[in-house]
Amino acid sequence: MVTPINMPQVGQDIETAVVTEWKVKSGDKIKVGDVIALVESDKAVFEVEAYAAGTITEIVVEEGEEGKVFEPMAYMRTEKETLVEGERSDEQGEGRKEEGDRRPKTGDRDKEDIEQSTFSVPHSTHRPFASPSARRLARQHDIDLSTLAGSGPNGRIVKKDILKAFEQSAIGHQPSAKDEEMKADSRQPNTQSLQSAVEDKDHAIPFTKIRQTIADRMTRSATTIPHFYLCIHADMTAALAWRESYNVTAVEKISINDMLIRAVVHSLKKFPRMNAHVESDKLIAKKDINIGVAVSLGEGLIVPVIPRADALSLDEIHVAAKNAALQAKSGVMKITDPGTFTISNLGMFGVHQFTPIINPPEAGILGVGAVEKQFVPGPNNSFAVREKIKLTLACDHRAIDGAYAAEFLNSMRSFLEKFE
Amino acid sequence: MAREILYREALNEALREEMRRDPTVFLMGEGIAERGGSYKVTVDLLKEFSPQRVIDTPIAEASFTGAGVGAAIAGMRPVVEILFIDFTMLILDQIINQAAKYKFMSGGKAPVPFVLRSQGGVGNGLAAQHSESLEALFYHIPGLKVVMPSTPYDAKGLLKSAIRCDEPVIFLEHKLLYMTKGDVPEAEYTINFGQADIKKRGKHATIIAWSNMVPRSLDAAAKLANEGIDVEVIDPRTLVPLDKATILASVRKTERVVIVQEAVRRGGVASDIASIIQAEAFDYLDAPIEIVAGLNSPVPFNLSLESRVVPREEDIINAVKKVMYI
Repeated sequence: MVTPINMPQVGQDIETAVVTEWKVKSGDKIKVGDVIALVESDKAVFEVEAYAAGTITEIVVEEGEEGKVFEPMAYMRTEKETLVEGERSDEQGEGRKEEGDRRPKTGDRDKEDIEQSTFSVPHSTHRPFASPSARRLARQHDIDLSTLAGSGPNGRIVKKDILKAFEQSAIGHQPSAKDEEMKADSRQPNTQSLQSAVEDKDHAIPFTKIRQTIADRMTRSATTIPHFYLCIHADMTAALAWRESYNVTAVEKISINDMLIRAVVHSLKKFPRMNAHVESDKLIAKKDINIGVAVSLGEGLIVPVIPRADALSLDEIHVAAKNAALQAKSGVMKITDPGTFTISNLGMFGVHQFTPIINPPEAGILGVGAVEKQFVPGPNNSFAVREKIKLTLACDHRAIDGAYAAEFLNSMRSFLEKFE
Repeated sequence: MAREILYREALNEALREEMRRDPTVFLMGEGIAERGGSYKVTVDLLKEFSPQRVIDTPIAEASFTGAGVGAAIAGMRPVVEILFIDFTMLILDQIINQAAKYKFMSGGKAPVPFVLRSQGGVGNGLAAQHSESLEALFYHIPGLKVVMPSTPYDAKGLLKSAIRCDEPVIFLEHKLLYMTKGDVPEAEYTINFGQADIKKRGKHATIIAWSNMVPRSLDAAAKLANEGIDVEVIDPRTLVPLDKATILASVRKTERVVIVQEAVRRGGVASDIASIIQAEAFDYLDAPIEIVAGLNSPVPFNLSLESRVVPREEDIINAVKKVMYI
């Protein structure tokens, strides 16, 4: 029997995905955990890993084609079946056993490694067409050419495509040294007047794929979800002091964001209606707590998910959050469970407070502002300077009421104020 | 003080000044003395200098070119004129096997300070044997300098340098340029070989052109400017030695290149310049280099067909738009 390899659901509400690259072809042997394909959703590229060892027998969704999620993108013959079917397979099994005996370590992995070295065939890698100039610019500014559509002949990516991508990514994120460099580059005489020729009059900047996805999802959220907002001040003085002393010896330095994730997880456990997906007629309380953390990429916002955050220690949360952000920035994300609650932190940009839009179908999102020193009145007209943070919770009023949300926030506040 | 003079007058001045300066300079060619040259480049030189220094030759190109090469080896500075570049096919042995090789084969003891003046390119219906652009033949031969001025100023300064050069120089004029005018200073000047001239500064694309393709490219550039496209026009002026530095600097600035040559496309100098650019400025190119060149065909004896076998202004404009993806 041959079993299908199904197109994974690489994001919430995703119905189809495009295979951007097959790492294997029909006849290739694969082992568990091998990356066999890259699949692109509206927002990002995901790696598809083999869930079983065996041989690819057929590719159904070719490179560049779109396939429906949960439907076969390829077929494979699993290893177990290969071994039980026919003598030839048995011989192979025997041979491998002997091979295994000669090696100090045996086990599936070793056997498969041998198979790999015997059978693996180099596969072609897709290289986007791009002009040398475009390649140079992309290299200098860490732009992934495979994320761009070329406007030149044969889909060739040319310099103006890079400049356009840069222009779009410049909207909505803080300028960095690299951006300044890039701007300086685009100020060079050769491009300046091209740019200004464009900028002298109104001009359309078409949405990229990711931008369009953000636009559609946020419009749906803002127009169909009855949002309400609660804002609360939390005193972070003790938490920051704890963090400072903890980080003295810590290998991985804990960030405020990590502490907030921890606090959110703590409160979500107590308030399960907040950790949910909302449908038109019901709320689905999710058993796992999967925290999405909004990350600003050049081309737009993306929300990598920390799965099972409720099972993680603070240190583990830190590592998971860091890896999730790095992966998101690299453009290739691991397929994870869908998020159940999202945190968006703009504190690092000096934002005091903001009202985020819910990432559907979640029930809530937390907007985090900057930690700021404030005078706080004390007894006998005394005052103290405290580190304060503003937390804004957006809730879906169809599923959550104000009092419940307030209790959730208060729970978070007391957790943060007694952080340890 | 600059004044406007004709290209042919500028050449005449260069010859006159160098003959006054250096008694070893002398001229040989068909109809250059009494007649003053078919294109009037040597007009009135016989009046000032003796018939020993301005020599009318028989129609025997191989012989008088050989005499000139010999005289150069013997220490004179001859300037030999071949009426049409097409006729240089008769003198290739003297030039390629003798003039170009002699210094090398004598271990540097016998330089050949020889100038071959000739003119090429299409005129107005001069047919296949009087219309060729053959610079690539000489460009190909080690040991020869190849000079192709496009303006009166360049023509004068470069011819004076050619006469002073200790190596054989192929000095190629263009029949359609003789009657063009340009500013030329009255004060003496020379132009060093290997120095390209940026005829027009620009930022969107680089046009590299020489000889009569320079004014044509400048006309194209003016039309493109009306559309907001600002091209740089570079005239290498000497193809050997070639000013790579100026060309590469421009390419790195504009990242787009169009090379225009009147000569036929196949085996041309443009191909060689393109190969230099792709090798040395590869990472800067935003588009494949475009070459606008003559068709791989003899020049037809028919004016409307003739105008179609060499690059036209619109061909240059289209090539610039192509490298700009417009």
